[in-house]
Amino acid sequence: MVAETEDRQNRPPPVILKFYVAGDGGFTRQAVANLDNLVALLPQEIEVIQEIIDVTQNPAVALELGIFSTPTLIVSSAKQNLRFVGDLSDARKVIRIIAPESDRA
Amino acid sequence: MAKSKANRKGVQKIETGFRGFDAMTLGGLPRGRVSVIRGGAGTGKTLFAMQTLCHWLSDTSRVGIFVSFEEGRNNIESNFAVFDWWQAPFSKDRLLLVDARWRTDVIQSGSFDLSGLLAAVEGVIGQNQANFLVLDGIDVLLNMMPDPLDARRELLRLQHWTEALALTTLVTMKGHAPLEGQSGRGFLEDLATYMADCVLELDRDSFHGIAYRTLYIQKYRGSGHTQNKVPYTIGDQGIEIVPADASAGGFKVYTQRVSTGMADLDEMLGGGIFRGSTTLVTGAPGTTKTTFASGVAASASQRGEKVLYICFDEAPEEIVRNMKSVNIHLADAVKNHTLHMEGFVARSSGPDLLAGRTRQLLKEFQPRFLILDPVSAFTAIGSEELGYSAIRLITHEAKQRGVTVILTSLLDDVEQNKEKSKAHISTLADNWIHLSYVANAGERNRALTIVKSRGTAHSNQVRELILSSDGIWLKPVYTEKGEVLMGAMRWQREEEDRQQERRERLESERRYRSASREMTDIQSQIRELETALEKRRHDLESFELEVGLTGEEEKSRRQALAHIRTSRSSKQSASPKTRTNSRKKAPAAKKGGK
Repeated sequence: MVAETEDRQNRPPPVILKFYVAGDGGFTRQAVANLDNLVALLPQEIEVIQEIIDVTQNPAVALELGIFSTPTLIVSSAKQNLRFVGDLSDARKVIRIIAPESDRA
Repeated sequence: MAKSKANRKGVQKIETGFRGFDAMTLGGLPRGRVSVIRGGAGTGKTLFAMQTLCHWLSDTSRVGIFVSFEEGRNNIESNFAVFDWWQAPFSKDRLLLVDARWRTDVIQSGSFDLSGLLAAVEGVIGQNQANFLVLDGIDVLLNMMPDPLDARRELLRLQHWTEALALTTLVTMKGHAPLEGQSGRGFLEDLATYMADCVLELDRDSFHGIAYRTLYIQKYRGSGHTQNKVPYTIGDQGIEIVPADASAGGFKVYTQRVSTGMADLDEMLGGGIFRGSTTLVTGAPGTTKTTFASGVAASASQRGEKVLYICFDEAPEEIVRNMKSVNIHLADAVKNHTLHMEGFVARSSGPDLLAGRTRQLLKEFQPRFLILDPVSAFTAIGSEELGYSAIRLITHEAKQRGVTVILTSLLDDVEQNKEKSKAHISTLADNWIHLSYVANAGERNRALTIVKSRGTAHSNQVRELILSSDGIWLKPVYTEKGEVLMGAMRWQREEEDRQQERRERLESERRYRSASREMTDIQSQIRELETALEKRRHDLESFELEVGLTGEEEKSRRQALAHIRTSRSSKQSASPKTRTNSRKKAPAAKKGGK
């Protein structure tokens, strides 16, 4: 979790990444590794708040949010609200959508 | 629930509420297992699933979850609101509708699984003791998976999960047309087929422009089931699958007999037809099927029993008018509401809808008699199979209600189409009366035969049916060398008989007369002879007397002679003469006495 807000006031608002997974099997671990990889590839100036939720422990949440395919990544920021389904094996594609300007650079 | 029965067989089952289906599968869907319904668009997969689920929920202690991958909650609710069995709104703890449509704003990255769904459902089960799950249109989700292997994995996951929870699951998926270059079904379908314990295929086809649907049980692990494609209908009560034999029970059986309106026929049927039975009246055009049916309607309504008369392609008013000409009056019964006549246009809709409307009328009007004239309207549209299934629906409903049914059907020849029509009709009806024309000697006469009558020692006679301005009635049988004669042939033969009889009578009269004449002659001869005999006897007596006298005379003569000899002999010549006379006459008298 990154929390260095005081001296970076000109930076864009934080991006919250909620990653919903099922259990902690190999598939989940692979997906979480892919997420970490993705976050590392994001531009430094983007503040990222990351949370991993296991739906098998929180079924009510899955039902409420309609998270039936796992893993699901919900990206929310002041600008956008995006939902990704999959193990994020294609990190570049996700980054292009979350931070288009960074990809161009 | 056929629980105890199922236990013995290893697979526990849950009733679907579709009578026909539960009968086909000996109890319904496998409990605690995955069943798959596969079918194209418009086959009623979702309806099948939801109807089964609602039947399940008719026990108020149960809970169901309906996960839709194709439709939103509001859509689902409005789609099913038209059905009686949809007791909307179910309380949320009893029927949970989950909208699991693939969100259009979702961006896919890499492979995913269904664990989220299963976790969410498991969460609900934990809270609610839910025990029936429907996954409607799961193919939509599985097809989003980048790798077909993922889909396979997920289906296996679903199977294992279901087994672990002992959750009865019904999965529906579309049947995809095989891709080019591939044979058979799509990959997913194959997978689902292998995975599931029970696979149902719904099929929709059209025949002469009328759609019909069939259900086929492709597999059912650990259970016997019907092997053939069974037609089903979708009407205003949803899907209906009629058991192959509608008389398989579950309704009151009557021993009371009701009149057909024709006393002679009642007699042939051993006192009429059973209440609640189905009577099929077949015949070629013009063999008075409608008249027959109207006669039944008229006599029933006269007894105050309500009759529902459904006619096809003929206006009720026309029938009322036409029947007047044969002394069958329906107008009064219509007026006082003992007879309700409804005209359907046969081609206006499919057999299933017609069946639905008929059953609706049965419910509303509550008749004791139902007449479908002609029932062949059902089989003339669409496939025969579908038509029979629709008829079965109606007759089944009628039996449940104790309604006596008369079905007329266009059938030119009982002997034709033996295999199919006969077999079908045979199972539909308890009684089968065939009306026919017997063409002979340049004319056509109507004849009536009872082909069958269940539970009745019925007459096997062919009777001549007379249609006249007095009504319809049956003529007594006229048999001739084992052949039943009718019409002019019959008249002619009867006339010949009469003439023959007359000739014979005249002849014998003549013989009688001549014999009696002869007898009179003989008698008069006898009388003459007797007179002669009497006369002779009389003669004889007088001769005997005479002979006696002569003897006396002779004696006295001899005495006199002796006396004379002693004195005189002058009278000798007279005595021999008298003797000669007596000798001559005595033999003649003897002869006459003989």
